[in-house]
This record gives sequence, structure tokens and C-alpha cells, in this order.
Amino acid sequence: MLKLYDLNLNSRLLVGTALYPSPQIMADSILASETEMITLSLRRQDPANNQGQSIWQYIQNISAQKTCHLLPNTAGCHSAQEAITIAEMSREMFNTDFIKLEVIGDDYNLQPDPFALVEAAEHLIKKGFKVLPYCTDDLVLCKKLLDVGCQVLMPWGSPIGTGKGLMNPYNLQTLRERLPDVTLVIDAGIGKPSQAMQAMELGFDAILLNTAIAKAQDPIAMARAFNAAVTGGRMAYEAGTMESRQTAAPSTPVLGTPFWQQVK
Amino acid sequence: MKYFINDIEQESPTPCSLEQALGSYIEDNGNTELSENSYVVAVNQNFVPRSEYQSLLINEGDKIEVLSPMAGG
Repeated sequence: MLKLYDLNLNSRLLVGTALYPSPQIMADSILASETEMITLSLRRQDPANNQGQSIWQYIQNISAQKTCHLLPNTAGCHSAQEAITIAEMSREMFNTDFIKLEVIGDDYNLQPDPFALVEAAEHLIKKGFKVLPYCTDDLVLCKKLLDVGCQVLMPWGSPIGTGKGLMNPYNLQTLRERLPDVTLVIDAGIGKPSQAMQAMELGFDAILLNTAIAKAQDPIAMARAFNAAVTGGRMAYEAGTMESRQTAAPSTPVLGTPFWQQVK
Repeated sequence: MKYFINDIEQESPTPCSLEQALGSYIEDNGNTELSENSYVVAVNQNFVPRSEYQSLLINEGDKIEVLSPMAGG
């Protein structure tokens, strides 16, 4: 089971609700992914465009059909204060203590601001939030986030929306080894199911993604593919992979080899 | 008295509560879809719980932010 604070989930795939060709495809993709937690945001309501309300209706319908927890985000915030305000607004709107904490430090690669992130996380945890911080793969930053009370960390695989997969497997593997008991979710940068599977095989607890499903040619089929990849990756991690070796070794028994195949 | 809702200038001849300001904004913009449970509010970047809409008085130049659920990643 995936443990997010006091919440246990069967699915290890968290899915975003943005960028789909239509709200119906978004809803069908979420159901196909078998996720139990979806991300969403708060924005100004444009009177001329009622799409936000439409999306909200679809999300409420999904929640009525199956267990699907909401994970509001603080996307677009550039300071701790902005993120804290959005988190408080989200708690009232969505009736949840969970918050995906994003504080962006650079608009070019949407890299998190580590200093503002720790400041906001500390404040929000004191106010009873269950903070899931979107962070880099920096070990010291991750330890600081744990020090202020985060029980879940969400390091990036690569920058949001790039689909480049795990840019720095060494750093990620180091995080897993140094923080063996912390729930680690790879958030952002996953483009293909194979990349999600790679992260799961490294021992990460879950994957959060959006664009890879929403921008696939067939989002619903891709949602199924990611579900299979995340499940398979976890099974492989639990099964324990073999040690790699430098030289070839025959898998078929050598004993009983016909004489014409025997090496002289 | 002038104040702002989502960056749009609003004017009230008399001091008003946040609840009154929101009521005028929703009516003026034809935001009939914006039912009470479909938005949340911050004033001058500070969150205001729904329970305080009636008692909070708006001051000259206040910046009110009205946000609703939207897709997100």
C-alpha cells in the first residue's frame, strides 16, 4: 500500500487533471489509470469561459463513482506567502488537509525554490496540513523538508512537462538509499511508461504525472499503460532484481552438451 | 470607495462587507454559476474563511481575489 501520512492507497499512480483534449477524456483517463488521488488547482473564474466549473463537475462525478482523493496544488506560486494563502484557500474549497506544495524559483525550468519551499512547508505543517512538497533531488533539501515535518517528498524526475524521464538516476538512487523509510514520489518529467517503471524499480513509492497521459495520442490507453508500468515496476522492486555482471554466462545447462558443441 | 476584485476596479458609495462586495461582483458579471460553495476568497493575499465574509469590512484599495476549482497537474 502507498502511505501518504495517515492515508493508505492501493494505487501508486497519482494523476493530474490538466491539458486533456476534453473533460470527458480527462474523466475516462483518470478512471482507466485506476488512480486514487488526483491533482487540481485554484484559479480565477473567467465569466466568459466556464471550463473550470465544467472540470469541477467532472471531478466531482469521478469522486462519486470511485474512491478518488483530491490533492490541490499551489502551482504558479513564487513565494512562501503566496503558497501558504493558496493552500489555506484550497483546504476550504476542497475540504482536505493534503496539499501539493509548489514554490517556483525559476520560470525557465520551473525549478522549485528550495528556501521558500522549506519556509512554506514548515508553516503549513504547523497549521495541520499534510504537505507533499514538489522538490529537486537534492539530498540536503530533502532532509530539511523532513526536519520541518514533511512525511512525503516529491522529487522531480526532470522539469515539469519535459517528458525527459529520470535526468539524474544517481541522485534519485541516493535519496532512496539515504531515506529508506520516507515515502518518495517522483513528480514531474515522466514522459513514458518505461521511465515510470525505471523509477519504481529504483524503489520509489509512487509516480505523479499529468502531461504524459494528457498529451498522449490516446490518453485513455496511455493511462492504462502507466498503471501497468507502475504496478510492474513495484512488483519488480519487491521481487528484487538480479545483480548485473560484466561477462556472459549461459542460462542453459552446460552439462550434457552434445559433443559437436563442446568447446575444445 | 474603490477596491479591486480579481484586478477589476469596483466602486461602492458606502462602506461594505466582503459579503456585499462579492454579491455585487457576482451579479454585475453575470457569474450566476459562481454559487457560494464554488469559490474561495483572499483579501490582500490573506485567506478569508467563509465564516468571516459577513463581518469583514472592505477598505479603500483592498485587493480581493476570488478563486474557483480548475484543472491542475
